[in-house]
Amino acid sequence: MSDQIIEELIRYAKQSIDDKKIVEKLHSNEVSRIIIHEGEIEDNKAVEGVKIKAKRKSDGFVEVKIIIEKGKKIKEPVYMCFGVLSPDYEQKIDMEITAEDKSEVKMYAFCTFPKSIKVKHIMKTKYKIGKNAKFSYDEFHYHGNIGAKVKSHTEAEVGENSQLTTNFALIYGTVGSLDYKIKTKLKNESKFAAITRVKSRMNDEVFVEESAKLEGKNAASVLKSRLVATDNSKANFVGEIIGEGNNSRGHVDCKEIIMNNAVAETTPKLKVVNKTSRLTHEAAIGSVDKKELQTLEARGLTKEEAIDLIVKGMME
Amino acid sequence: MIEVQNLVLEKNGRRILDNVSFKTNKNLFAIIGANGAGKTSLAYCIMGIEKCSGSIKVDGEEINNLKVYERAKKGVTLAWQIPAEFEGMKVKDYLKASCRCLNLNENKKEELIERTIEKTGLNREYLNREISKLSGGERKRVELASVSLVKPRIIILDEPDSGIDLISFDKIIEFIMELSKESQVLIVTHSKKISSMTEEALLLKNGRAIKLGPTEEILKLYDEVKK
Ligand SMILES: Nc1ncnc2c1ncn2[C@@H]1O[C@H](COP(=O)(O)OP(=O)(O)OP(=O)(O)O)[C@@H](O)[C@H]1O
Ligand SMILES: [Mg+2]
Repeated sequence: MSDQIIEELIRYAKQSIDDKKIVEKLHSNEVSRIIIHEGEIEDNKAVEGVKIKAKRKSDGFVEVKIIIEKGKKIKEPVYMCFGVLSPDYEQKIDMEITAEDKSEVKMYAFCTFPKSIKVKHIMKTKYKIGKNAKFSYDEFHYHGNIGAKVKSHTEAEVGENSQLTTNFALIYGTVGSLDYKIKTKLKNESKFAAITRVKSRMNDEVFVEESAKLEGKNAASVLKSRLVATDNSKANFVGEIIGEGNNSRGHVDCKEIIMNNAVAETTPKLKVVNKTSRLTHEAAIGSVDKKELQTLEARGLTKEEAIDLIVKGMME
Repeated sequence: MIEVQNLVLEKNGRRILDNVSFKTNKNLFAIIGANGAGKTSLAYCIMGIEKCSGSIKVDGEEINNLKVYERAKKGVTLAWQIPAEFEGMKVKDYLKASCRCLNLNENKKEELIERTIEKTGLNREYLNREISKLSGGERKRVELASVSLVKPRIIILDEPDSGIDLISFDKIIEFIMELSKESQVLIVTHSKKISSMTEEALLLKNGRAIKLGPTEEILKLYDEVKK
């Protein structure tokens, strides 16, 4: 374990988020944390109610297994730091998180590749959420000024009467290329809320897919995305909901702002196979609202300052 | 002092403003006219939101060649008839942006923002609310707070009382009175009630300036013109 590497990863994690206090807490003794730099497990500690196991596998993946034990409400968040400090490395992580019945947890994952020129980060994730559980997962990325190639695919099962909330943000720096997918299956009375926020620039390529299969009765899901694409970047969002269960409810809400020569695409995919299910969507793609821009200019802000503020509001 | 000469605005082949001229140094001034008279268009031309021909001078300095933010830097600002929604933006962030150019430290700015929002009749808890989730009347008040925080020389208020309930009306009048102590306030309105607080007024009809004079006289004329 190298304190120096850990400190550097924490420092870069701060670049990915507005609220630096959240990152500061990584130092606290009360939080569980797993820190992986390239292929090395730098730190792994867990509080009561949380179990974290990590090991290197022969296929180059680092395997991470996390269990939130039955009935345990974890007071402080569980932290993950996955980073690459070299300019060129392929990091591969295979993660499984189990939230047992009646457990409650909030997780923060910081993925940082600050000096990347050719870094690749491949992440396969599974969430197994039991019954009556609450599970929230916030993921923040920072890919430096050149960008990295990130592929992060998650599959989740949300048990009866449980809640899954995910929040993915890549707002600062350059993306590189991002292929982010989360596919969920929801049992009776369960809920899934997702928000993805990505700002792309230069030649970034962004693909985001959020998907919810509402299997159980009264299952509900809201899938949100907020993408801002500038320069020559490309942003593509797919929000998919399948309404199977009785009275299941779903909503896709997507907003994309494009500037310069950027290209944006958004596809809401709604499928209802049960007539009591109800799915809706709203999508807006376009440039920054002219009236909002002129209002801020009329307060003395330049066009660039005004755009920054409007985009910041949209990203919060 | 604002001086407007021969403003002409055409849109899609229609003449929206037809040689409008007026000049005033009064701190409470009304631009009066019926729906479609061209009031909002005139306000947009002064702010630079619409580009028109003619001359607009603020304290003798020509501004009609300037961009919106440059006019703002010269001391002109505008409160919209229907304010923007700013999805996701908090009231606090909008108001902070509004007083960005003031020469005050952060603490002083925050105090000023709190005092200002309260004067519009909204309590300070509104500062953490999202603008897009406010009611129309609440958003109008935030808009008033915003222009006041710019501390400009000239404030154009487009229908400041629209969407404001009767009980709050007096509070808004009071607010505008206070604004007029430090700035020249141009109130764009079709309502006699709010224009009667001004000293001088301009009557617009079909894009033309019909008459400039003491508000009382203009309101009488407004009645006649309407018939
Ligand atoms: N893009 C446009 N093309 C053609 N005509 C327009 C356009 N925009 C506005 N107008 C017309 O210009 C005229 C003046 O509009 P303006 O909004 O300035 O009126 P107003 O006096 O502010 O009215 P109100 O009291 O309803 O707010 C109206 O007749 C309107 O229909
Ligand atoms: Mg109008």
